[in-house]
Amino acid sequence: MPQQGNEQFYPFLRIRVFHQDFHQLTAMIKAERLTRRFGGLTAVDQVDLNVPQGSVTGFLGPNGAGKTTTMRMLCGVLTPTSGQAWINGIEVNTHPEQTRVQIGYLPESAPIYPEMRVEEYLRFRARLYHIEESVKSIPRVLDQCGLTHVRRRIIGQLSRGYRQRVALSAALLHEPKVLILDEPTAGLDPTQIDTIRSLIAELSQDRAILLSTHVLSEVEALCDSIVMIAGGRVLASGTLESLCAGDEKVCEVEIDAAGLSILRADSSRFQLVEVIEQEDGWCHCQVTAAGLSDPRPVIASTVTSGGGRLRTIESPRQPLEEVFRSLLTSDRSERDQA
Amino acid sequence: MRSVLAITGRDLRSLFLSPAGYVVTALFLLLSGIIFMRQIFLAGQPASMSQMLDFDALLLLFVCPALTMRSICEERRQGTWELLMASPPGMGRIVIGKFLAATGFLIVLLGLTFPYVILLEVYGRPDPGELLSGYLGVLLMGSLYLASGILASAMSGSQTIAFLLTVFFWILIGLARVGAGSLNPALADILFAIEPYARLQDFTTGLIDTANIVYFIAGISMFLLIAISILEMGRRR
Repeated sequence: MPQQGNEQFYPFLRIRVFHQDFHQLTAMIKAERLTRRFGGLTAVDQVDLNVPQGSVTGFLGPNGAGKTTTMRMLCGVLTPTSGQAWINGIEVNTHPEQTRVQIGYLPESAPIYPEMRVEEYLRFRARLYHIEESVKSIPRVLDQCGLTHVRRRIIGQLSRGYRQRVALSAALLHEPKVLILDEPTAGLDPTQIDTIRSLIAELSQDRAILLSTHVLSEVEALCDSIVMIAGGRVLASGTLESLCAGDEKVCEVEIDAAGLSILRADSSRFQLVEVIEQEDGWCHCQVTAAGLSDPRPVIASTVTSGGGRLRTIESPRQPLEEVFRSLLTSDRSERDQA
Repeated sequence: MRSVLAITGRDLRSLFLSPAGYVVTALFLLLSGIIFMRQIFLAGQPASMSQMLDFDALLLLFVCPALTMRSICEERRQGTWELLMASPPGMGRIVIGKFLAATGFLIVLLGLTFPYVILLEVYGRPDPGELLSGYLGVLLMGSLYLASGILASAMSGSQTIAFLLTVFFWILIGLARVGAGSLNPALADILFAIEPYARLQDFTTGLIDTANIVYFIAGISMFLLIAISILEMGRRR
């Protein structure tokens, strides 16, 4: 990928950072054919990623799928065996320091130094990233992550939820444009999960977030798009709607009795698979239309033009869990055959 | 430089807060004190610290690996090593930061023996040149042990193994020199050249030889560079 945008020199780091024009280049996190082998084991196999600014991409997969390895390669912790990754348009392997300064990384289990105090740990991290620690950044992240009242506490004495927040606040300290979060809510109680999720949703407004998880509800709650991975390979990627879209030939409609009669009368075009008459007079039906991949516009116009009333019309959506499970099953059978 | 100092400060604080740091300090001062009282602080003895410094150098063979064994192993165990690797400072700055922290602790440790020097100054007339040269030698030798300890910590996944690796490496170098003398004089010469204890004795007797300084600095640099290379290779393994 060519380097575009404005170049800025950071004298304290003695590095140049290429700030990209986001209108020209939308992918803040990009990976092409990213591969990592450990001896004979291929942990990550030709993974492609594309995370634009202002979005949360869920990196979904079972344990050992290659999520953490991929994230480590994006952060420069591991070097890929082959393939390339870019952060904000800058290649990770050729410009490691320039990319690391733009990433906020929260590894799995949120490791932090237990003997340090919260504020002290943030000061240490600020010095690592060359930030003016005392003036703005630390109070900002303490406030953002709800840590102001525990800022003088020893990290090892805090609850897991607070430790997770401390780790997240450290990842936000240098105001990174890219956040890579490896299972940020693992092991937290429901209240803590809600807090962290709200924070992530707030942060996603102006950042690109790659969020690894195997909690499907988390993906549904937070993510704009999903990358499903298993055995190191991407099984599917896309928006939640596109991945969970069911059979578009089947429509679920809610119509009144007149609408039902219209559809029944036109049996050459429409077939009513299932009809459930509801107490309030509306009928819930599953309808197919011969020869049409998406029959919704035709059904809607036929019902309304014939004087019937239509309350809802939609293609049934598959649960994410089911999509994920079927992808995993087909991947396993493919591997077994191979 | 700021990031190096950040790592140094954090590690130094961790060393001062860890029970291992206190135990090491207490034992070092206790044993040094015994040698001082039994061998040096006696009527009719020359006002020289060389005996205590020679003994301190021997203690450092165990003290320094105890200080460095956790420098990288512990970070790996806690998972914080991954955060350091994902932060802007390169491996060189991380390793140098850790080495400076351990050296800083060693300086404090040696500084705590300063009351013995004052006692000697009160009751005798020690040669300040010999004292300074002796302390410089012990510091250089300790730093060499620290650098090799950091290498062992980088190579090993366990603190105990890192400690033993460093201790046995230097014991082996010392023993091999003695043993090789009877077998092969040429090999004995080589081992004599790489063995630090004989060079330290020059310092403790007040002789500052540039060759010895170069030896210690080269040795420290070599161990640190190998540690940096090994850790950098860890990204690719």
